[in-house]
Amino acid sequence: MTATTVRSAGLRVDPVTLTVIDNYLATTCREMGIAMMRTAYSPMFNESLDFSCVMFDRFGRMISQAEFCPSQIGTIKFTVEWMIDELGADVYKPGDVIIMNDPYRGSGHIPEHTLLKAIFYDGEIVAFVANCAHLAEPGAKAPGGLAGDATDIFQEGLRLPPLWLQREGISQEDIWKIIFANHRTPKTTHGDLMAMMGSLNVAERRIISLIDRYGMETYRDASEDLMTVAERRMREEIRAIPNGEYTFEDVIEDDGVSDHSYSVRVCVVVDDDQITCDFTGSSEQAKGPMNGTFAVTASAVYNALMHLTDPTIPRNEGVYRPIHTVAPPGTIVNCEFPAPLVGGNTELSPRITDVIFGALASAIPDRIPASLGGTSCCFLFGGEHPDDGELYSHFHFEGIGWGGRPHKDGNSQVIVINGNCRNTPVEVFESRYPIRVESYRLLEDSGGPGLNRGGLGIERILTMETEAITVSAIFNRMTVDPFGLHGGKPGMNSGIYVRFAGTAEWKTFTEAFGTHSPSKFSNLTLHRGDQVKIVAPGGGGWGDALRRPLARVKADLDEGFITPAAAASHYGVTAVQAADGTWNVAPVVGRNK
Amino acid sequence: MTGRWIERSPMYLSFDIYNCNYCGKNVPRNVWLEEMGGDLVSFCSPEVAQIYVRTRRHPENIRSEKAGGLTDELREVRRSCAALRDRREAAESK
Repeated sequence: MTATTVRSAGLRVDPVTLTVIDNYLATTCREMGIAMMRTAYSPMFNESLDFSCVMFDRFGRMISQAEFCPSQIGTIKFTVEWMIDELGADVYKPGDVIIMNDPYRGSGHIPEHTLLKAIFYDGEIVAFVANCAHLAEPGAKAPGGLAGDATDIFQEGLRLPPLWLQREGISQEDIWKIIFANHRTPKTTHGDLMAMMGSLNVAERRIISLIDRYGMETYRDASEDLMTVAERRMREEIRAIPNGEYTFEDVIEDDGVSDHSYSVRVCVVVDDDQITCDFTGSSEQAKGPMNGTFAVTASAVYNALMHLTDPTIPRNEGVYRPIHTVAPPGTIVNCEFPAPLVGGNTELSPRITDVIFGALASAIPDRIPASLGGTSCCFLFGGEHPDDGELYSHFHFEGIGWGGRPHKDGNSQVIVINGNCRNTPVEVFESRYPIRVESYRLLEDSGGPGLNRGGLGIERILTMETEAITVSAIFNRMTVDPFGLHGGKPGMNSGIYVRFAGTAEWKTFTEAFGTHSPSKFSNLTLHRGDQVKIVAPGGGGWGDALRRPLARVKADLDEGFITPAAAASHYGVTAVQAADGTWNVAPVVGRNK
Repeated sequence: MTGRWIERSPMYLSFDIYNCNYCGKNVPRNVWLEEMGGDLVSFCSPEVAQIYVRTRRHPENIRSEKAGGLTDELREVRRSCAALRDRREAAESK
């Protein structure tokens, strides 16, 4: 990363005021998020934090964001641009709130709904504020929305073009009724959308207060200056990467409805202070729901490059200006209407991030980690709740192992790189849904061996506690390993298995139900006592495992992160357990101490 | 650049997606048209049209693959891609 000390030329606001306003805007975005977290109904909001809050200037250019979901922050740039462009910038009135979730208009996938509000000051628009959130129930063919075997967009839920949810402060009941009539859980949808609207009101108050304090001219100048600073600093970061073309390729292993695998191929072109990620040569669009739209692909590109550059650069429109994406229409990275795509935002997105990391591994090896587990481990379920007879649905995702890094091991059990979310705590999970969490643990030997080991995945076993639960899933990395780098070994694959009540054998869903794919399916019925085992993958290792210091191998054994067998086969270390349960280790002949 | 913006009508009864000729981005309403070699070529913005011109003038700069850029990891991934492809083709031939 580049230390930046030079001030951008031509700035109009003094550095102290500019920094205060930058932090004020980012803090307001955080405050919007807290409002949503505290007032929403669904654990998707108040536990998983699967939402993002962002601010735009009067032209629809992003001026601030905070530490939310990277895939949403990247796509919302396109969503808001589309909403303003399709409706026209002159149609908004004070108190209007617009809703949209159409992926073919910039949304990541149908469950992610964006709300947009124009902010007025002295009768003119001074900003747009928006939030994007994953509703637990979008009215798809499967409860929770992520049908792993969908074959077109119409099976993935109710698709909303830009519509007025509120006009001049008055709720548009016709629109609400259409949404409620199509969602399985209208009360939850209502609570969550109202939380989103409340969050927009928080931002509105804060922006008006900011202009009251500093004046319109300073507010507008600061918005321009922040974009200028961000653009200059991002260009400096890119200039520090050696010019060249860097290619990499990875795979989406299947699409849930056919046996095809799909290549995701990138050529990263670094050209002085600009970078282009060209996906020409990627596979044709998938028959099943593993496609991404242009917005998903571009968002993943941004996500990858934000991970590799200075995190203190203000996050706004300026930071995106030197970054370009080429995604040919009709391919898996830019599918054409009406292709299904709900899994693209959860599964293709991390694969895109990974291929960009892989491509740049030779250019900036000191910054690039090995592959992360690379799947959101989407497990969806729903049905009629035995306690109150009401319908429920939930989208459960799982943490995975991240790739070993040049200077550290990978993180264990962290939500996928495009998510930055949290999983639902066991206590909340069990109190809201008729499922018991039987066990939940880090999985030994799941992290790819390496000088810096990949992070560990997990194993979770769930027991159904009602007569019928409908389940669906979208997983990846079941057959193609999370790759290691610089001699590191791959991480362990993912898995999802079922064991019927009264039986001993774990089966894949293909073995148990005849699904086309063992990792992508929808609407299977489980009964009381049936169990599901989720295995989240580990991250790839970084560097030669035989160079891992003995003390770190011993620590892994003591913690139970690796087994003695793995210590011997991958790390060249023999291990003997002491009476107190710790391990004594010794290198095999020829192994570096 | 010497092109111009044109405005498309909003979609109503049909849903026609309009993609930028260079980057593939879905364009909502305003399209940048540039005349190139006698043809009108559409882009999502004049900036992207500029990139298109710059890279097409130097086609060797993009979309090519340097043998030297192949890392061991890429070779490994390619091998797994090829293995999957073989498996698929074998299944299809049955």
